[in-house]
Amino acid sequence: MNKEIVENLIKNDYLKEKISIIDKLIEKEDYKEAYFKLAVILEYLNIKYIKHKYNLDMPNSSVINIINTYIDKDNKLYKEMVTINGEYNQVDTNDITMDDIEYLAGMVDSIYMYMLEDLGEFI
Amino acid sequence: MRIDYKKLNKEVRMEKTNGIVKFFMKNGKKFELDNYESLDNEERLDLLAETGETIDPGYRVKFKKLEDRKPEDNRIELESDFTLQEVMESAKGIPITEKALEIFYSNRIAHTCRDAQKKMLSDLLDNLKDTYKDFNSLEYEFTPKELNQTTQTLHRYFIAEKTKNINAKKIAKAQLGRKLIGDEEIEELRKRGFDVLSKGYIDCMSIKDAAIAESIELLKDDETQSFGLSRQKNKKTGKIEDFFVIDVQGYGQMSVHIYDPELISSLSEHEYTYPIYQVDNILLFERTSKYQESFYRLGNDEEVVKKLKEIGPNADTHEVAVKGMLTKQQMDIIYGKTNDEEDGR
Repeated sequence: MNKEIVENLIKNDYLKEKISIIDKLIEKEDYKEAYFKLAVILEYLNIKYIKHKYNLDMPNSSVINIINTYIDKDNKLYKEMVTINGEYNQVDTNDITMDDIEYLAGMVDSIYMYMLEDLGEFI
Repeated sequence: MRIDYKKLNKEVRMEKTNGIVKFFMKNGKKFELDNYESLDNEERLDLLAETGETIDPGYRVKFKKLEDRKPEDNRIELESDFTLQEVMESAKGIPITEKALEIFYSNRIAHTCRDAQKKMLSDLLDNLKDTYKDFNSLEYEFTPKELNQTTQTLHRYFIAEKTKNINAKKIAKAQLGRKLIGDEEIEELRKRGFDVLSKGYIDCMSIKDAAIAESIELLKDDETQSFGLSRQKNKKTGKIEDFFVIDVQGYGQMSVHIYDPELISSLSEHEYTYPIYQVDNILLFERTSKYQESFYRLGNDEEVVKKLKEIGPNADTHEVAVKGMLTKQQMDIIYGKTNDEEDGR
């Protein structure tokens, strides 16, 4: 995957390692698994951010529950997660393409950048 | 004078698409989740009914088309014309029926927005073809899959622009370039309202998923109600797809695709194991066919269960069971999952 797309994520050692796993899956053309791993990174970022920022645990971390957590707290993240929910609804999970992966990676990277600017490192 | 039906069809569908854009330009804010969730259940159903009737009228015709696929005796005859508003009215006050309608129609409205986007793109590509008709080598026919993927990428571009996500917008723009969609096409689609439909799509999908989450909360401790996750093989692709299903007692089966991995895993203890009898369902309505009524005339539930068990579980018997308001326990007897004697019946 083009490093420019995930430039913020790879600055963190832990996330860099996860991105390299995703890169290996892409090399093997296992796009579906690569996509789901990116979705897990996004879920992880949200859980960590919500804990640090609002001291809330997220036993149910479905996208809609995350949206409802941000709804009256953070307009930017609320809108980004509504976009992500639409994205999950529009992609064909049985036929994931590199375009789908690149776009989700770009979304995850910019969400992480926003969180970093707000909190500093929290992973 | 000869009528150019191709041109006429195109004009009709452009008019329909324009109508959807106009509706969402005026009412789009109401579908934003924070605004939508401030409405009570009845107001939500009214909004969805008004929207459905405005942007995708003709429910009765679609209902009839689906029923016509069944054997004559199994078809549900509707006595009179009805509006979606009437369907919604009949559900008010029944929490799980209200939720099922909310899920079903928010999903349908989102798909109506998406279909309109595809038509809009397809019309634009047709116009380009006319422009390049003297240059055969510049003509390119998009396959349905390419049309779908390009619609998705355009959607990403416009949504990233709306949320001011520069990074995501840049990625989508590069992807569009590879699909030969440039600034001129993007601006033309913006003029036609493609971005308005993108917003309608994501807002309605978030309404759908929020309603699914709420209905899981309502249903998880209800042992009389059959609902859950159903994994079905797509007949065309042969691939497995995930559905969220609720048997809406007295109304019928409601099923929609479900995608969020966490939402799916929250249903791990609620697997839906009964047949899906209508993937293409058009609406939920408390009407029955002559075939279904013949069972209810048998007498009490016990006799209906006994008869359905004799016939054996299949899509038809399941439809009878749902319309006949049988409970999950009674369905399990029909499906041989529990023994009626053991159950004390």
